Amino acid sequence: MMQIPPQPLPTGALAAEAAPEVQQRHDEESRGQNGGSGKDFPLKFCTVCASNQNRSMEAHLVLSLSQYPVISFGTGSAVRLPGPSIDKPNIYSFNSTTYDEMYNSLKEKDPRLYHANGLLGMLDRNRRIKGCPERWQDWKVGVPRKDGVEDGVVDVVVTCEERCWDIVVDDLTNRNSPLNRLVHIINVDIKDNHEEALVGGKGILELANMLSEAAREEREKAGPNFARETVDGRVPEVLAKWQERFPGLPALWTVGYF
Amino acid sequence: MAAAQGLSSVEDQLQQLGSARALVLTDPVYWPQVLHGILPIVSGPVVELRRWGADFLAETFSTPVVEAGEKLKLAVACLDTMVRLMDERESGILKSVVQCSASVYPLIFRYICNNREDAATWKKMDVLKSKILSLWDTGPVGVRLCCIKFVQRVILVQSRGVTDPRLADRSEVSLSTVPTNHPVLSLPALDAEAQGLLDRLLSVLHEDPRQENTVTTTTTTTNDGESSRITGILIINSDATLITATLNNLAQLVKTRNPIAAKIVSAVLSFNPLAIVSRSNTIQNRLMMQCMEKTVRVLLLNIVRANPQGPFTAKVSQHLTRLTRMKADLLEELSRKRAAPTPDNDAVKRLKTDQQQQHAVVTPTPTPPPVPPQQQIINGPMSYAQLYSLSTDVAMTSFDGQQLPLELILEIINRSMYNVQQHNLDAAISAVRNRYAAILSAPPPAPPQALAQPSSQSLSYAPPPATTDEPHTGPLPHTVENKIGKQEEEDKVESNDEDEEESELQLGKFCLPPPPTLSREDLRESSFDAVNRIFSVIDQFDKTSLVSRKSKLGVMRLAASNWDREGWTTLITRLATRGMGGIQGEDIKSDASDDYGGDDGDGDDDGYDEEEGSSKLQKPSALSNFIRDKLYTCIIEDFRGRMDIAISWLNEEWYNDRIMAKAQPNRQPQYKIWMMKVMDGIFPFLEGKDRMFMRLLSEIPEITVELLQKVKMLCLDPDRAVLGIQMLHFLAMLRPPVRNMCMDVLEDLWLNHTELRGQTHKLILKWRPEVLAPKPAAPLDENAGTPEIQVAVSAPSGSVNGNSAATAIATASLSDNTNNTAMAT
Repeated sequence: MMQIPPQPLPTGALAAEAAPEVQQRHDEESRGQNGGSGKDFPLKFCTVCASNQNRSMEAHLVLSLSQYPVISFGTGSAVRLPGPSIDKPNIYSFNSTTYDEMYNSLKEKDPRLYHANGLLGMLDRNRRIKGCPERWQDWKVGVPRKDGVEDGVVDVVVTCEERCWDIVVDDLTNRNSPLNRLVHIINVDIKDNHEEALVGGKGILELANMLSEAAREEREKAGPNFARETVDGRVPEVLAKWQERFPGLPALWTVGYF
Repeated sequence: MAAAQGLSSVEDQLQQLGSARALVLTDPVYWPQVLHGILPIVSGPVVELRRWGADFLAETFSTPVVEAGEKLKLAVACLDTMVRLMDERESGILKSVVQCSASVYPLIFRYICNNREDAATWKKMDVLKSKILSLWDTGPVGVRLCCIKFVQRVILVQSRGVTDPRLADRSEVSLSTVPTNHPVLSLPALDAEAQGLLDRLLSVLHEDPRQENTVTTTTTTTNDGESSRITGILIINSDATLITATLNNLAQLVKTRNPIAAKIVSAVLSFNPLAIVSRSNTIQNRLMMQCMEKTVRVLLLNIVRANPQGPFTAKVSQHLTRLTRMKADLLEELSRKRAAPTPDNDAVKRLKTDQQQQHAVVTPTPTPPPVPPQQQIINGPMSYAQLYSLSTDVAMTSFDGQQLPLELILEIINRSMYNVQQHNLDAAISAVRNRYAAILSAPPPAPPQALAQPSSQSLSYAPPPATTDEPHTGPLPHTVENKIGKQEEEDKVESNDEDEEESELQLGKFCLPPPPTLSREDLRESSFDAVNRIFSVIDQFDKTSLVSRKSKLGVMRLAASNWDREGWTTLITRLATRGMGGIQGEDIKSDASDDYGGDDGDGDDDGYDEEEGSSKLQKPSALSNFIRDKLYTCIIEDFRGRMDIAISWLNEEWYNDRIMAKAQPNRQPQYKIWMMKVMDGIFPFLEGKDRMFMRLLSEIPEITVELLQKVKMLCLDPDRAVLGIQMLHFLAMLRPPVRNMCMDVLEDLWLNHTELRGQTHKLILKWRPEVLAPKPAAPLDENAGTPEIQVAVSAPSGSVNGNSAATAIATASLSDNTNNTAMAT
């Protein structure tokens, strides 16, 4: 469950105006370095946190604004949002309750509280990104999707918490990799609050940029034996470089298979 | 479809292929049709189309939306294309084909099982397999990762699965699927191949000799360090990649292929993910170490969770614990190493500060200037500061050291004394000595008034106590010690005032004026004050419960090592007992007669102070008795909450008695006096529920007959009889040396107080059944017994010897106990 700081924070207000912000950020990015790159050689990403609300959705937003194909999931048993007290969380089911329904339900319960702790802002942002939070364990990998990842597979899974990484790796192991398809599972440890989610989102975007850059380099390469190599062999090096730049977001990585 | 339009541009074709793919993604029914359509162009000359085709092939056999039966048909049709594509040199294409082969292999295997005669298809698959296996070690990393997956599929297919047919998964393909006497598939050969592949797969987990090679080349070719470092990193990189990929393929093998499970688990357990850091400790290697360690952990936990009763559970959990510890040790070691030397960094820093210092024209200590001559000339009268400062830095000389807190200065001095070079120190000392000599020999050029005025102002002049009155001297001659330096200097200044001819820095013979002698009364007052203060401190700690006050340190505990309640209690009890041991002698003669001891000896004391008047036993000092009395009052005020104080005090008293008995044989033992006094204070207030009191009784070092008599009186009080008997019971049971004393009391109760027999019967029966046995002349016996016992119990509370003698006389049956009557410690 998210740890919401007791005081209202500017993030809440910031996220409350997600829609214009989304548009604005979108404009900036399309002019920026990723304007063409995302489309040109897109690695496909998947972001994962516990409830598919805060961290994974912030990362989902920034990656999609940079034209990366991205989907997102939560690994929890249910969507848990902070309630009026620590022992009274708001619990919703994955895959069926939409962000919009959650938004309306919280707004009805206590608009002041949920506006102050940033939940309404967050949900408002999320409902503009996709329909409802999705559970990782229920994801049918490889089944075509309607959103940015049509073929239903991704190249990189980015989890936002070590526990989620554990669950994802363990779950993939239990699935016995029916697709035989390679996937890099990277954890970027982000604390579950609005501020850290913003910082973490930037970090994940940078990681995506660095990986894509490395992938582009490798593809341009024309070695004596093999041409157009892939990013796979470069991931440790890129990750280490990234980690030096973002020491506050401890990384973890493994090569798994869908 | 797309292939038909051979003339259109590549972009157009790709676009059309894209829309075809979009179609099958939305409606998988068309998938076989589209795949058949693209096969020709995948074999065509246009590389862009071959890339697209390879990806589409891989996707076709991955996707869950196409049925397995459909895939099987497609697989047979696609084999030729895949074999051809394996000759490509583009990593992307190879990756897709190998991924595709991993999906196809079980399908083809099953197909061959069911179609015995189709050797041609199996031949193609074999070619494909050998091409892939040749890339396994030589291909680009991305392709090798796909090869690992392919190899895992081959091993899965070519090893024995679940033997129990009820548990077997029908869709699963394994050696069990192969029918007997198959013309193409030879079970032993397939099995052997799988074993060989498994060994190759696991070899990445063993120490790779190539690692050592790269390291040695790195170390030997230091002049070409950069390039060799890069190759080293690349190899290590790919190793971390290949290792985690391999690890993530093992769980399924362990869980579904029983015969090879043990081999795999032992390979994983012998793999050391931490080794990478010991090869070279870079950020990347540390990160990779963490990643591999974590992957091993998740894998092992997954295996154990799948079968908690399995054969590996114990080993795995042991291994994981060990791994955690090793990792913690390693990280600690690394952080220590990292903290210690970064020589170039330090050098840079030092260089910087050095430059700064040079900039500020500082000449640090190495060779201090003997005397800064211009200084001497400019301001002839020299302060101590000027005399001792060897630095010519203006900022340094004008700095007032008194602004710094004392602790900081001590710290600085301490550190620098450890670091200073001996010859530097010698040089500095001799420099100051020379200056000093020079100043002493040279007469002061400036008039002394000019000097005395500012210095006396700045030093907050206080007249030396020797010459002035002493109203300011409190209990402690304060400030004197702290300001010796100043006094000295002031003294000097003053003497300058008086004698202008004398050099202002002459130290002369200065002795510290003795502190004003305190009168006996003052002395006593202030000692009592100090003791009272200690007691008030103890009181402040009084809030916590007895249990939580108990020290957790056990035997490692040092008395009074920290200033908590226990520490202060120890201090005060030892002050009362051993603390005054040395000065006791001198106090006796002067104080004992008139001082505290006299006042104290009123009324109730007489009982156990009876020797006081007659003998020449040394009496304790006034102060210790004062403390003892305070302790007594303190305990009596709240004996339930301060039982621990009573226990530690009485133990100290007893111990001190023992010690002093050797040094001063004629000293008056204090334990019994105060023990009885405390008991006298407590007993009247005991209630039936005060079971905690038994603790006091059990922990004091010595129990006397007198004390047990008090317990006996308790037993006679109907309200507290249970408590009293419980005490006797407890002592008899758990303190064997006093058992007989207790039994004496109980026997007395049994014989003389029939109303208590219900409670005493069990105890008598247990420890002194002979009292119950003989009943020939019960009344007579009772009559005869009573006076005897009474002799025993009312024996004069004198010396131990007298006491036991009385008991010995009392009854013959008790005579063998008398030796023990004395003490239990």
